[in-house]
Formats: sequence, structure tokens, C-alpha cells
Amino acid sequence: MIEVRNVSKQVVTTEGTLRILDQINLSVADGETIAIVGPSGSGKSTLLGILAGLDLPSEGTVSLNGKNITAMDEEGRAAVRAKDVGFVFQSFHLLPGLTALENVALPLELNGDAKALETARYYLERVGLDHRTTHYPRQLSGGEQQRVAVARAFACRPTILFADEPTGNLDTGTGQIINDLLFDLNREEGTTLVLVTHEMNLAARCNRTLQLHAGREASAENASEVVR
Amino acid sequence: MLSLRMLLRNWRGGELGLILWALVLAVAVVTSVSLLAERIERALTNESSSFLASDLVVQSSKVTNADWLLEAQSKKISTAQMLSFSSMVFNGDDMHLASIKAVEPSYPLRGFIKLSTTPFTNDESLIEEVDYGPPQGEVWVDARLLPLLNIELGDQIELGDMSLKVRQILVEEPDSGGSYSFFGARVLMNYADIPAAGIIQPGSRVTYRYLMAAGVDAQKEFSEYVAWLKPQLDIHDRLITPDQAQASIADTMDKGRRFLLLAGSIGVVLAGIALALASHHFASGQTKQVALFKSWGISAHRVRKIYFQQSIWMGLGGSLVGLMIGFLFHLLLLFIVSDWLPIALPAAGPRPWITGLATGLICLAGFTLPALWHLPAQSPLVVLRQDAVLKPLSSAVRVVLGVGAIAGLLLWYSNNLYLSLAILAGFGVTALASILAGLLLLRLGKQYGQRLGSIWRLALANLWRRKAQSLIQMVGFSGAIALLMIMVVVRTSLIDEWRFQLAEDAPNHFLVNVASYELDGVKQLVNDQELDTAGWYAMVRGRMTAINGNLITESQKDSHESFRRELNLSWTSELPEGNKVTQGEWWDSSAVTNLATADDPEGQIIAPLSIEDELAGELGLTIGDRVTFSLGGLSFEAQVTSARSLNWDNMTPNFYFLFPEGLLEDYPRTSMTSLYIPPQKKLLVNDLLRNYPTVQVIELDKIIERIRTIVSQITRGLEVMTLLILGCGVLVMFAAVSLSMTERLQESAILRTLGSSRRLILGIQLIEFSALGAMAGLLASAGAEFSVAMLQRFMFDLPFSLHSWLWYTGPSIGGILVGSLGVAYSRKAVVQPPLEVLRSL
Repeated sequence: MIEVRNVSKQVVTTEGTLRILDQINLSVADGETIAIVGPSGSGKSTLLGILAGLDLPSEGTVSLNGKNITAMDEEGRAAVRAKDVGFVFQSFHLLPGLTALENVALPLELNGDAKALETARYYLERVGLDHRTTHYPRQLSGGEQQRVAVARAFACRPTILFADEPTGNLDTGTGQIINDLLFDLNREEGTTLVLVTHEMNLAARCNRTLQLHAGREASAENASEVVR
Repeated sequence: MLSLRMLLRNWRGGELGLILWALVLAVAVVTSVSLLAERIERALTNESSSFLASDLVVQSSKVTNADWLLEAQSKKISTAQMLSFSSMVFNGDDMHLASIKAVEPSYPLRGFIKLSTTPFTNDESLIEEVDYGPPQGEVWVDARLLPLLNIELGDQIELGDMSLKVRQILVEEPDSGGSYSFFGARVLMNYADIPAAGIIQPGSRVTYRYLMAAGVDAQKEFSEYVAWLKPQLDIHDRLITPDQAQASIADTMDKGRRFLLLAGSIGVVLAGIALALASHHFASGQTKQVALFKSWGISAHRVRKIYFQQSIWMGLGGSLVGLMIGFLFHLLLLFIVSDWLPIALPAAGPRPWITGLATGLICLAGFTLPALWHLPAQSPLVVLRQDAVLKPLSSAVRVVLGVGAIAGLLLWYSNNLYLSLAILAGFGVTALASILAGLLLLRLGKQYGQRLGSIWRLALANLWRRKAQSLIQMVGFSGAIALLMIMVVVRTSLIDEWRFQLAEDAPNHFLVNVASYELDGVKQLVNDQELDTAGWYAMVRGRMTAINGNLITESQKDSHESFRRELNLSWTSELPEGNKVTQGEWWDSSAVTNLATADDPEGQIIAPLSIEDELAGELGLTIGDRVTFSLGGLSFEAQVTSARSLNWDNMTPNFYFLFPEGLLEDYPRTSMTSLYIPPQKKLLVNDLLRNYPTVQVIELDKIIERIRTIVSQITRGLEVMTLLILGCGVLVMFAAVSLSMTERLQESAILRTLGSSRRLILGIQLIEFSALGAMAGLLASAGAEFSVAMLQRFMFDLPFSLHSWLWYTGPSIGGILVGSLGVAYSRKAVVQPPLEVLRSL
């Protein structure tokens, strides 16, 4: 469950104050999928960062699973992220020195999971990479790297998954495979999915779309309407 | 153990390579330098102990107290008793006033006696080294005693009531420097034969020496014993340490030690710089990882803990490996130079190991932790936006921490404030100049690069574009080059100085007590052998009888022998070479001219007097004091007008008391000189002593030979250290080159993708790195010149001189070395396919 109330974000630049987000309101129910779309510079990634507790709004409140993360300090938000939040990034952010298996296991290990490697192996199997566990990121294709990243995100069993342009660096075919994987796992794990994308067909697979334009909510429509 | 697992994974992934190697090598270099330095140091200390044939000596006019021997025995301290005196030895009608030394069989406790059965030989194959004295009934003698007494080896000589067999030629005694042979050839005999010879009577002029030494395992007992012994010494006993035993070699050894210290300290600083550069590189690679951790909800506290634990593991692991490599490295160095270091090196104590480990941990605390400090505060937003990267801890704070760590380490390592300050100041000036002048040079490069070819334009513009990184690299390069140049300059000037002091034909004999009527004859003998003297100096003998009108008291006489005995007084108008006026003023010609009119109220002449400054201190004399002298029953008064320091190393006659000309010439005088007598003309000493029995010959040839051997050993030690530190300097350069490599390889791979030739890519790198190296070299020259000036002035007591060669060597070495390292590193970009290069970054 995500509750966003009157969230604004402004930054001070040399040319004055810049308003990146302006009075955003949003509610996302458990298990719901929502796509944040909009042109470059419309504030999509900033909103994602604020929703995930990676950044703070200048005004307004954000609650994740009933916890007001905007009222918390960084340590409190970190605790919420550790428990409830998972990420998939456009540039994968795999650690180059670790194998696929170690990359997936690392967040589990950091959270003190004794069966980290076992769980990691299970999720790699689920993304179809059980034969590449000992490979390093540089030995994997872009699509494979993103599959490792997806496995890593789900291995922590988050209740909410944030995905920032998850297929932005991939070709259409590979992107399609990743999208399928993301939605399949999301459905199976019952995760809430918030994704930022440029791709309308990806947005169309979500229950809802939040359209941003210059930091404002352009319209919140049913995804099928956007696609149409 | 998660942190350890993460560290191992990072290591396997290649991210830790540079920092860990920097750490390992830092520790290895410091450990091997310290091990080598300590072992050479211990060898030098042993060597100086051998000058005394022991670790400590009590010289006395009385026989050694039996209690002292018993106590020493109970504490496992080795002892030897020794007795020296002059006595006639006979072979029929031939006789000679010999310099007798009676020793117990345990003599020498340190060093060796060199013996031969061939007279006047320098051939090492004919010389035997032993660590025991002659058995009873036997004597070992100077080769020149054989012709003096017309005897051969195996013959008997008479000493007192005894007949002793001459068994060996005495080539060298370890402690020959301690007691000059004033009265003739040395005869070494057994201590137990003394009573039977019946030559020592109450009141005989003899000198007892009580020699002590303790092994490495009994050092504590030895200190306790010395502490127990000291209060029991009375006015007739004098404690002699190895340093006092040989003042001239002590100075050389001291400078040798200081150089080892300097080299080691430079090693410490270089290691620090290498680690600082590597840490900077490592930390910038960790930003993304930390952001990722934080996006997963890992708290800042946890991140800090993980990195701290990783640093500790890294510090311990790196240091341990470093200690091992350092040990192997020092063995390798010893092996390489084993021909150079003929003395067997004693084992090192725990200090080098502690120094090595501390270097690793302190460098890590001073450089790596500050570089990682900002990471836990890193915003997790970096995973979404690159511009959210947090700035590292301010450079100023890191510099303060780094310099603090280095300063602490230097001070602890060297225990010498001047040295630490000089190195830090030299490095500081270089670093500051690198930043200020570096910016200017980079700017000029960019400006003038426009007029040059396209490669030059690109390369120099790149340097300017990356100016922050270029400046850090420049500080690293120039710091390393400056420190290396400091070391080479100091080493060269030290060795030059020693070489100058110990020239092949440096005087090795003093002729003393030559009466006026003998002077022409002695000169003739010397001339007949075609030998040159250091000039003849006249002197008169006189006693001090009063100071400031007060007669010398008995307690003053007890306190210093100069109050008791006759002193050598000489005169000169010019300040002798090697003398320096430290207080008051040297007399000019007018003072001497006016001497006759500078009467005191009673009409007596007051002579100006110049006195050696240390003796002045011991006697409590200051400028303006009036000293009354008695010369052959006549007395005159003198006023101290100056104090001088003397150079005891130059082997020319030196005088404690000097007067102007025109005052003492009428008193009965004797003359003295110093001269070089080569081994093949050594029998001149016999001719001199036979024809002029009252002339005293002080023989320094053996001791000078020993000094020469030691100096050459120290010189070789310095060469080894220089090599080692040069290696350390290359490590710093390597770390600095690595700093910008990711970015450079990325750019080169992109240029390669766009079809640029190998020549263009390597050309750009060559010009960039060579220009950077040359600029750094120029700045290093300035820093080195400054630092050397400080070191010469304050630490090595060497004259200041400008080193023009530094100014062209610095830039050329910098350009060539850094340029070739850079190109070697960049070759990957043109050898491997561009995609492979990009993927591996």
C-alpha cells in the first residue's frame, strides 16, 4: 500500500528555484501495478526516488504500508526499504566483481539471511539462469544481466518493487522477456509494482498509469486508455 | 565474517588489487628497509664495539675489583682483564722500549685479532683471525719488533724476569685505536704471565682495562650490571663506550645511521603516498556499491561497520603478506650484495616487524579510512541519478589526516624531529608548488598545445580537462621524484665527504716531541723516503696554575686531567684549517702587533688565548677568563678571547690551546707533524725510533685502514638502501598512473571504436604522461633542493651547495619514467578489441 499526499519537490539552481514535482497525490493498493510515464525531465525518476524513500519531498507525505516514511530519519527509511522495498534499475547495477549467484545473494547476506545462497540459486533458476550462476556480469548479455537484477530484487521478497526503466537498455525482444518475467514474478509473489517507463506497451500491462508532465499529474487513467 | 567474505570477493573481482598491493608493498618496503637498516645498524654497533674489543670498558690505574668480576659472572656477562704499560724487551744486547699489552685468554670480547707468520704482509690469505689472546709463555708482536731485536719467529725475548717465545706477528688488534702506540712496537702477552715477569711494582705507570660484553639475550642483565657498577667507580676509573672509543669513526657511523634513517623515512612517506593514491582510486569505485547497499535498506552505521571491518581485514592481511614479502625481499637484497657486505650481519630484533605492521595499520588509518569516510553518508539516490554523488571528505581534512599519519609514523620511526620536519617540509613545498605551479603549467600547456600538432593539442587539452586528477597525480609524481632526489643527493654528498676525508694518502702517522736540535735530522730522514708532511708545528709544554687569579685547587685537579698534566701550547697567526671559531673572535694582525702594548696595570703582558670549545666547557672557561700558565718555571697570564671547534677527522695536528705568534717562541719547544707512510716504507718508524729515541711516533695506519673498511661497508649499505627506495618510488608512480586509467582506457577504447590509429592513441597517452612527469619533475627539483638544504644544514652538518643537475635531471627522469609507465599501462587499449576493454572497465 502506497499513499502519496501533496508531494512537491523543488531544488535551488543558479537560475532560481526549480519545481520538479508539484502537488502529486497517489494511492497504490497492495498487489497493484502502476506505471509512471511522461517525457524526459517530467519528474518520473524523482517521484520514484521519493516513493522508494531514496529521496525526500520538499512538501507532502509518503506512506509505505502505513508507515509515513517522510517523517522518518534516514535510518528509519533504510529499515523500511530493507523490509519492504526492492529495486530493478535501467543500468542493472550489478557488482562487477561478484558472480551472478553472489550478486543475488548479497542483499540477503547483508540482511543476515543464513540461506542466502540457497535462495539466490532458487531465484536464478526462476529467471532461467541456473546455468550461469558462476558467471560474472561482464560475461553475461544485457538481458541476462537484467534477469540477474530481477532475481536479486525478488529474492529479498519485497512487498513493493520499484523498477526504473527496466528495459530501457535492452532491445525489444529481450525487453519483452524481462517484462514477462517481471509481471509473472510480480503476480506469483503478490508484489506491488511501481515502474517508470517510456514504453507504452509496458505501461499498458499495468493496472494503472500515472502520466507526468512538467512535474504535474497530467491525468491518471486506465492504462488501456493511454494505449488507445 | 560477511565483511571478510565481501573483501575476498572484491579481491577476486580485481577491485582491491591496487590498494592491497600498495599496502603490501608499503609494508614490505618499510619492513625490508627496517630489517636491513637494523641489521646493518647492529653490525655497525658491533663493529664499533670491536673498536673497544668489548661493549664497555672501565679504564683505571688500579687492578680490577674482584667483586665486579664475581657479579659479572653471576649475570652471564663476559669479561676480560687487560693491562698495558711500556717496558724494555731484550734479545741479547738488542733492546727496545715496547708497548706491552697483557690480556686474559677471553680477549677480545668483540672483534678479532689478526695474526700472521709472515712479517709486513697485507695479503689476506696469509692473515688469520682469532678471538683469543696468546697462551702463557708466548707473545705476539708487531712485525717491526723483529728487525729491531734481530729476531725471527720462534725466538725468545726477555721481558723482566721472563723469557717469552715470539710465536705470531700481530697484524691488527681490534682495539688498537683505543691506545695509540706512543713508545714503540706492540708486544701482546698473557695476563697470567705478569706476576712471573715481576715487572709491575707498586707505583708503576700502568693502565688497567676491564672489558665487558653481553650477548643479545643478556642485554637486560647487562644494563642492570652497568647501573650497579657505575656508582662504584671512583676518580681513577673511567667508563669508555664504543662511541667514545673512536671519535672519528663515530661521526661517520652516526651519519651512516642517519642516512639509513632518512632512506627508511622516505620509504615510509613514499609508501604513504602510494596508499593515499590507491585509496582515492578504490573509494571512488565504491560509491555505486554503497548507494546500492543503501537502496537495499542497509543503514549508514552498518555500511560504516562493513567498510571498517573490511579495512581491518585488509590492513591485517596486507600487512602480514607485506611482512613476509619484506622479509624475503631483505634476504634477496642481502644475497645480491653479499659480496659488498663482508661483515656477518646479526639478526634483527622485533622492532622492524612492529614498524612494518604499524606502517600498514597507520597508513590505512591515515589514508584509506579518510578516503572511505564519506561513503556511508552516500545518498542511495545515486542508483537513480549520477549527479547525486556525495563529495568525499574535504581534501583539506584528508591532507591533514594523511600528513598527521605520516608525521606520526615518521617521528616514531626516526625518533628525530629535524629529519621528520625536513622530509615533511620538502614534501609539503613540493606538493603545494605542484598544486599552484601545476595549474599554471597545465594552463600553459593547453594554451601552447594549440599551436602544436593535433596529438599534442588533444593530449595537453586532456590534461587540463582532467585538471583535478592531473594535480593529484602531479603531487604523487613530484613527491616521489623529490624524495628520491633528496636521498640520492644526500647519499652522494656523504660519500664524497667520506672519500675526501679518507683519501688514500691521508696522514697515518704523527711524529711528536721532536726537539729543536733533532728537527733537521728527522726532516732529513723523512725527505730521504720522499714523504710529505702536513707541515711542522712547534709547541711548548706548560701547566695551568691559576684561573682568574685563583690557584688551581686539588679538587679541580681531580676533576680533569688537563689541570694535572703539562699541556701542549702552540701559536699561529692564521686560524688553522678545519678550525671554526664558535665564540669570541679570532685575533687579527693588529691584535698581535699591539700585543706588546696591551699590558695590564702591573705592566705584564696579557696574551690572547684561543681554546677548543669542548675542553673550555669541561674546564669551565668562558670568554674573558684569565688563565695563568707556567712554562719551565716562568709564568704568564692569558685571556680567553675565542673558542674553536676542531675537525678531528682530517688527521692533521690539532691544538687545544693556541696563542698568537711572537709570544712563546723563546721557550724551549718541540715540534710535531703528521704524514702518510705507505706500508712498504713502514721501517722508517724503526729508523726514527733508533736514531731519535725521544721522538714519539703515533701510529694510526692500522686504525685508518679499519676506518676505511668500515666506511666502505657503510657506503655499500647506503647503495643497497638507495636501490630499495628507488623501487618504492616506482610503486608510487605506478599507483598514480593507475589513478586515471579507467577513464583513459574508456576514452581510448571509444577513440579506437571510431577508427583512431594505434599511433594516435598511444601518442596521446605518451604526451599526456610525459608532460605530466616532466612538470612534476621540475617541481620535484625545487622541493628536493629545499629539503636537501635543510638536511645538510641541520642533520648531516654538510656545507650547503646548489645542485644544478637536479634541475634538468628531475624533468627528464620524470618525463621518461612516467611517460613509459603510462604507455605501458595504456597498451591494453590498442591490443585488445575495444568492446572487451569497455566491458572490463
